[in-house]
Amino acid sequence: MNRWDEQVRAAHDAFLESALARGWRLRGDGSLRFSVSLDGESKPIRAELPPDFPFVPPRAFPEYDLAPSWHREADGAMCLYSNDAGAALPWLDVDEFAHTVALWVQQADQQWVSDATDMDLERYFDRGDDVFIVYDESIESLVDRQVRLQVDGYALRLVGPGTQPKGRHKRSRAFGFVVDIGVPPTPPRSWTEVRALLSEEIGARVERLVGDGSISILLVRYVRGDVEGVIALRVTDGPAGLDLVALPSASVSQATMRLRSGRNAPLLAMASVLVVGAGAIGSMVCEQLARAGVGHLAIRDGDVLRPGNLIRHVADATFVGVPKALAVADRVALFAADGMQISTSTVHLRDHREAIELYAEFDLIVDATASTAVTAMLVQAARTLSQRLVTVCVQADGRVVRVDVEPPGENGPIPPTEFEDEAEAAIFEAGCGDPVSMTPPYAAVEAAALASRVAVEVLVGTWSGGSGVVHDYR
Amino acid sequence: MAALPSCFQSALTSIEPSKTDKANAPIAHADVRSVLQSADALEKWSINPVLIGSYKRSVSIRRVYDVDVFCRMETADHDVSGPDVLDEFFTVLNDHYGRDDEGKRRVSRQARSLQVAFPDLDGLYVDVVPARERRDGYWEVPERNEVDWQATNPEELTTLKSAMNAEMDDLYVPTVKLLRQTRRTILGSRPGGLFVELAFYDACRSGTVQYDNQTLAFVSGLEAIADHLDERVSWGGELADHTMPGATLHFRATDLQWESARTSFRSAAVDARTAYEEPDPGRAALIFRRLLGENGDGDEVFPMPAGYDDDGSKKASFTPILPGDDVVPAGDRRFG
Repeated sequence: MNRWDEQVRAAHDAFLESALARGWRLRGDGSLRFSVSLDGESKPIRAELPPDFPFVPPRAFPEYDLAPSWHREADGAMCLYSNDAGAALPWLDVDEFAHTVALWVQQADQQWVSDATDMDLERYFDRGDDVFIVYDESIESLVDRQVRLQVDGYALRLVGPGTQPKGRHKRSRAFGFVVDIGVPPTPPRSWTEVRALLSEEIGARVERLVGDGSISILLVRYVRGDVEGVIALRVTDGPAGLDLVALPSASVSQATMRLRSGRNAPLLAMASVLVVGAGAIGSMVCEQLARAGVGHLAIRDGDVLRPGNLIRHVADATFVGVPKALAVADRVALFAADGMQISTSTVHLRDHREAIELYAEFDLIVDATASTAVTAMLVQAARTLSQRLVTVCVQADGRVVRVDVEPPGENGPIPPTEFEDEAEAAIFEAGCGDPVSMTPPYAAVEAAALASRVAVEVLVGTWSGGSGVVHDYR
Repeated sequence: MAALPSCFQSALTSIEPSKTDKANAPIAHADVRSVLQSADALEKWSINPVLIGSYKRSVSIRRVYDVDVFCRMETADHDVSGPDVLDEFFTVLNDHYGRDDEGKRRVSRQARSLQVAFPDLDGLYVDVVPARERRDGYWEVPERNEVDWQATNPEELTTLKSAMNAEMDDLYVPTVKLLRQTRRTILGSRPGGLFVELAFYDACRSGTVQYDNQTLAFVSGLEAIADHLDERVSWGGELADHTMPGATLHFRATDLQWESARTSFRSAAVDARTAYEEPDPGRAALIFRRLLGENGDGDEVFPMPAGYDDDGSKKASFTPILPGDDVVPAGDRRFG
C-alpha cells in the first residue's frame, strides 16, 4: 500500500473501530447497524462507508418504516450534509455523525417543518442527461396546456403553446405539457404520485397525450417555501403506467439570470457609470460592471482593436479592426440585464470642458486609460467639482496593481508608486506609438476585478477603503 | 479494543480459494459425474452424484485440494455390500482414468470412498463417496469395517449453513473460514476442518457465539471450540449432528490428538480475546497474524493495519486524517 492509500485506509479503519467501540454492529456485507432514539423509541439505522470515504460522508438509511419524505436520495439514503460542510470533515467523528442522523430522524418525524428550502425535486427520480431544458417566466401562463420546445444550441427551449402536427416530425423540436402540483407535502417519486397531485381531468389528459405520442416532456411546476420551481421530466409509456426520468433544467428568466450578480444588483440597476479606456483593464471592468448589474454603462475609447490586444481583452478575433468601445459594447451586451443601457463613444477624451458634463451625467467615472493627460484631467476635475472617480492601472509589468479613489480619504491620496530599479527596455509593436506593457493577462484581470469591486462599493455607498488599494507584489 | 475490520477483510481475501481452484473444482466434478453416470456397470443403481463438502458449502480455504462428490445410488438394494459397491466404482473409474504421465494410478480405493487424482488441475483430488438411500429418508455410506453402512445427510448441512449465515448477518461462513485457517496453523493434524466447522455450528445454534462484528465472531468462535474440546477431553462430550436430530458426530482423531487440540485451541482463544481487547492496533495485529499464519500459497494471511510496521510499531512518518483536522483551509461558506 502506498502512503496515500494507507492514510485513507487508516481513516476508514478509525471510523469503524470507533463505531464498534460504541456497540455498533458490523455485518458481513460491510454495513454498520446502530440505533438512534426518537421520543424514547429506538430507531434502527444502517450505515455504509462509500468508496470515497473519508472525503464523502457515510450513507445512512432508516431501517424502520418511514414514509418517503424530503431530504432522501432516490435509493432511500438520508441527505445529511450539504456540499459546504466546513473546514473539517465532520462525519469523521462517529458521535457527530450519529448526532446528525438523530437530528435527521427527528426532523423527518416532524415533516421537516423547520426545513431550509432545497429545490431538489429532481433527486427523487431517475436521472437522464441527454438534453437540457430551459424555460422562462412564460411558463406560468402555459399551465395545463400543450407546449412546444425548440432546439436552442445544446438545450431544448420552451417557446410557447403548441401541438405536434401529424406526419413527419422535425428533429429540432419536441412537444410537452405543463402541469402545476402546488405545494407537495412530500416529494413525488413516480407518475402515480404526481398524478395524485393533479386533477383527474389533467392526469387523464397527460396519459392520453403520452399514449398517442403527442408529448414526450412533462414540465411540473411546484412551490417549496416561498420559492417556485419547475422540474422537467421525460415521460414515456411503461409496463406499469408512465415512466418519468428527470432531465436537467433551468429557468432563463431575468430574475434567474441575474440571481448571481451579487446582492448589490438592484441598487446598481439605478446607477450610471462611464468607463474611459476600453483596453485590457477597461474592457474587463466594463464586463464586470455589466455582470454586476449596472443600469447604464457608457464606454469611451478612441482606439481600434489590434490583434495583439486579444490576449488581454474581452473581445475576440472577430472584432479586430473595430473601435474598442464598440467591440466591448458588443461583448457586454451578452450579460446585459433587461433594461440595461449601453452607450459608446469612439472619441478620445481630450477636451477638459467635457469633464463638467461627464461628471454631471454619470454617478461614477472609472478611468482605465493609463494616460497621464486623461487621468490628470479627471482627477483634478473630481477634486475641484467634488465628484467621484476611480482610476486603475498596473505598474512594473503587472507586479503592482493599483486602484485610486477620488476624493481621497482623510489621510490624503496614496503616494505614487516608487521604483528602485531602472525601467526595463521598452518593447514596441509596429503600428503602436506607445511601448507594449509586459503585464501578464492575469494582472489585468486582477486590476479590473479590484477596480470593479471598488467602483461598486463607491456606487452603493459602502466604500470604506479610504484613498484606494495597492497590491504590490515586488 | 482492536477489531481491525479491514485487516480481517484482507485476511478473508487471502484465504479465499483462488480463481484457478474455483475453476478446476467444477471441471473435475463434472468429469467424474459424467464417467459415473454413463457407466453401464453402474446403471443398475441409477447414479445421481452431487457436490458436498467444504467446497459446496463455500467454506473452503486456499488451497482447495479435494472436492467431495456424494454419489447417490437411487435404486441400490439394501443387501448390496459396501466393498462390492466400492469395487464396482473403482473398476469404472480406473478403467476410465488409468494412470498419469508418471505411470501412477489415478484412482485409489479408500476404506469408504474412491479418490481420483487430477494432476492437470493443479493436483486436485475428487473424493467419490457412494451412498444408498435409507428408509428414514437419510442416506448411508460404507463403514470402515466393510460390513456396515453409516447414516449421513450431507446436503442438509449445506442448507443449515445457508440458514445460519443469514441469521448471523453473513458472518457465519467467513468465520468458519477463519477458524479453519487457524486450525491449519495451530494443529499439525487431526481433528480436521470439518470438526472445527461443526463445533462452531453447534455453538452458534446454542447462542454462545457473539457476532456484533467479524472479529468478535472469530474470537467467540475460538472460545466456543475450546470449551467443547474441554468437555470432550474431560468427560467425552460429543457434538450433536444437526443434520440428523438425535444423532451425534464422530471424527477421526486419537486421544492424544484431541488433547493437543484442546491445548492449542484454548491458547488460541485466550490470545484472540487478548488481541480483541488490546487498545494498540499494532500489538493486536501481531497476535491475529500469528493465529492465522500463512495461506496455501505461503503468504502471510493477516496484514498489519494501515500506519503500522510489521513489528507492530506505528510508522514514524505516518500522519492519520483525524476528526477535526482542518482540511479545507478557507473553512465553510465557500463558492467556486
